[in-house]
Amino acid sequence: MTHIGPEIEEIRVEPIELPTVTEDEPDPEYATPEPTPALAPAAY
Amino acid sequence: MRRPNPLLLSLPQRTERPDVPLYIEPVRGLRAWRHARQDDGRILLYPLVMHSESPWPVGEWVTAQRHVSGFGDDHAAPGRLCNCGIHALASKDALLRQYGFTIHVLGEVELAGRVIVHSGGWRAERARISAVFIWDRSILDEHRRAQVIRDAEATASTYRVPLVHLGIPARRDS
Repeated sequence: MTHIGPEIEEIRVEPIELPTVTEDEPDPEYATPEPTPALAPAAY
Repeated sequence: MRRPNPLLLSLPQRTERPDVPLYIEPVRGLRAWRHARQDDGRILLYPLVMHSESPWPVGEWVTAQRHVSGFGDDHAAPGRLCNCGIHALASKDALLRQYGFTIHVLGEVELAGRVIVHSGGWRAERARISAVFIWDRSILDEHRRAQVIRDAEATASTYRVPLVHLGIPARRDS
């Protein structure tokens, strides 16, 4: 590649990489908790 | 025990030169590559000018190697007083002017790390492919145009990036 012209300045780029979570690999940190067992009517 | 937030951990650290502006979004530049179809049907991209047989990796950053000049100077790329680093253009018009009538694959890259800003583009420490372009190739004969489009489609599939149709600016004859 050529012809990018004269230099102007220097910068630094550090992209933030968001963690990717797929349906097959749930992040345990954000896993859905086990549902609470339904209470028996007598507990009301 | 609560784990640290991975998003906060990935925040950029202080640069070694505090006067250099720090960006957290990749700079997007434009490039052209040589391409070669592999035995398995994939198309891999190669640098145009380095005569390298190492293709750009799929889904990973390319990191510019330290540059050793013929005078024994050894420095990290991109060097300020050098022409090294991963080049990319800023303008679609400039890209098409230089490579629009070749059979090279054109596309977009994300640039990161140390980046030297030029009037017409960038020299960067790291880059990765983010899109492949197709555009009006009416100058080519029908057979060759179809082949170029198939190559672009296969390249986008190989690198798992979008295939983007480039619009061509209207010609100014006046």
